[in-house]
Amino acid sequence: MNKDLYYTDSATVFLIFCTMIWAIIGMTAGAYLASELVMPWLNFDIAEITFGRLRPFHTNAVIFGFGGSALIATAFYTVQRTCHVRLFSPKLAWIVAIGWQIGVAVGVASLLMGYTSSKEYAEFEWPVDIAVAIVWVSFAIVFFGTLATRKIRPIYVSNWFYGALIIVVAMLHIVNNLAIPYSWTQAYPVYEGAQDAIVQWWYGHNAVGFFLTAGFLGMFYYTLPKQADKPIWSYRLSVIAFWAFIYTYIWVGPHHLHYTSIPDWLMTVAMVMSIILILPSWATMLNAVMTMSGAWEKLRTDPGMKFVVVSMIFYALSTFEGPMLAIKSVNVISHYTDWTVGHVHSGALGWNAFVTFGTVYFLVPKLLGASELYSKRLVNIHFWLALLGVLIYIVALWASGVAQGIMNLSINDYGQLNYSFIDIVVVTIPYHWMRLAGGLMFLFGVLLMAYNLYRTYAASKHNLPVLVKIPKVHPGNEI
Amino acid sequence: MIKASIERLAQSSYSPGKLFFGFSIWLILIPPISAFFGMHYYGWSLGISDPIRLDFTQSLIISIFYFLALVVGFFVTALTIKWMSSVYAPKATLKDAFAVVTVITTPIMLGGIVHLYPSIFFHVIALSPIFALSGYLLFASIPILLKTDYDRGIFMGCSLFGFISTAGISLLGISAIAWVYGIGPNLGV
Repeated sequence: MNKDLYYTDSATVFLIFCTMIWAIIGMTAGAYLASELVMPWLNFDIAEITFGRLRPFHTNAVIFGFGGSALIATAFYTVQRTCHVRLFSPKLAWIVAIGWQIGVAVGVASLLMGYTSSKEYAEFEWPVDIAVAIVWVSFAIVFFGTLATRKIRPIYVSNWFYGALIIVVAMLHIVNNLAIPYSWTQAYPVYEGAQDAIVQWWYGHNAVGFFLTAGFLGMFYYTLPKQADKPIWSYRLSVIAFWAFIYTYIWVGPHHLHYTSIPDWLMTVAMVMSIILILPSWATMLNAVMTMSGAWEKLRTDPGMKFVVVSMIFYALSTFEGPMLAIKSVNVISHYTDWTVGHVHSGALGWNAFVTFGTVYFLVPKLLGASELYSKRLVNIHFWLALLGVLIYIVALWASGVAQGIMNLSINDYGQLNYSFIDIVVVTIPYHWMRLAGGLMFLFGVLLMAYNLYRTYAASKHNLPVLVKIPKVHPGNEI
Repeated sequence: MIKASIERLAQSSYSPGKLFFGFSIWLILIPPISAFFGMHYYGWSLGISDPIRLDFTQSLIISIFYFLALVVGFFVTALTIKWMSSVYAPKATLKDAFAVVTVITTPIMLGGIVHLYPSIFFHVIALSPIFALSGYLLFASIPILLKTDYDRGIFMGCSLFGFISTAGISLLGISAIAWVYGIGPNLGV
């Protein structure tokens, strides 16, 4: 058998399995953290599960474990289908898949042990950073190698987004983590003071932009037209939105540092660019809405499509809310409050997780050679649990954030603060119970999904990998 | 029962003006009037210490702007539904769009009475089921009032939900800007 005639999906199957494992681990940690906020004794005085250590464990496990595995899995799947060619190096793809899991697992375990660079979303210490960089460069070789050997002339827009993800995240990761090691577990960053903060948030927000947005848009631009069984409404708009997105996003990081010791002009530039960013984001949303139009009946037949449709709503919501929170006059209220946490979760759960769930439900039967998922009913229950969970979560944190913001700034007639820190903590407790309830609902939905996928796997014939022949390219599009 | 009521509304003859000035405008008055009395006489309770009571003028200004925002929101939502209907419900008219807004806003406007007791947590608890009911009415009313099929209605409901959530977030952002510029609680900014 000539293997070159078939796609290679074994690494993708493994990565989707890892995606679900990380979803359970990362979101369980999130729910446990939410419990600790209302029941602080739950840390049992064990250093490894105190809030300060478990919080970066949660964020890194979800972003890099769950999100990263899903992105690499779908990038491998998509680039083959849109280039009509087998992965450039299946063995290297496997090294990427396993290397990524080891890198993230060692990284998050080291965070629990207390080894951290203390930079948000870049907490891993330098040995892990180097390992992650090597894996990421290998990912780039597989991805761009596949693109370079493609049989079809146009480069589909998903690949533009995945390409941007790979290039920009490599740049961000390497520049932000430049450091001089002084032991195996610690290093001095090469930047100082305000400069360090600017570079950190240039990294931090572009991690949101290119990891959590560009990458997931790559996933979305492949999944949605396939689910709707029709092409993107406007391919030209998708490419214009891509370049506008790339140009604008890279400027917005300093909006995380409003009213700090960085230059005022930098804050203003970040604010203005953040507002401009609404345009490419909403252009994408419009393109999605118009692509879905006419595919109405798919909502009944494709169980995962609901997730993708709703992910677009949360994408629109969070890409509007983000620029709004970047306005200095709003930020002065919202910053350092639960409002920001709610915003992040409306994006991470409502947009990133929903589009991932929809994509995984779409891909798994195909990858396993199953005719359909084990239970559409379970998918529906998962959908409603996830939707209600995320709504309860963000509404609670909006209310909590507004209360915190007002209390943080409220002064009496003598210009003294009206509320002490502990007053503000006490007020947030009922909202944090709601947040816990919403988070548990979301987590329970993920457990149902894992069970559903497992039963789908168990019911399939186990003859993995399923061989899919590479179709011929239309002569007009051949290279 | 709810669907039967919506169907009766779909079959009745009314003009957008009659629907708005004969019904909706009176409901829209409930939240700002309640907010005025709540803010001025009771004060916003954040859950601890004394409530933040606003003076007569500030309460009045905020309530008037609140009323205007609701009226503008009502019309903009109706026009947005009409605009969206070109994709999702080609047979729908402006009159039908007004009917949908009326249906989905009725519980929310009635629920605006909770502003009489302006505690943030009380609002979250009391308004959550009301918003859930409005969400249900949104999806239930679109296929009937806009004369479209169920699947298209779901898509349109999702799009409209996105629009309304965004509008809600905007209102929160505009409020924050107003507070920073001195309309509302006394903040040290």
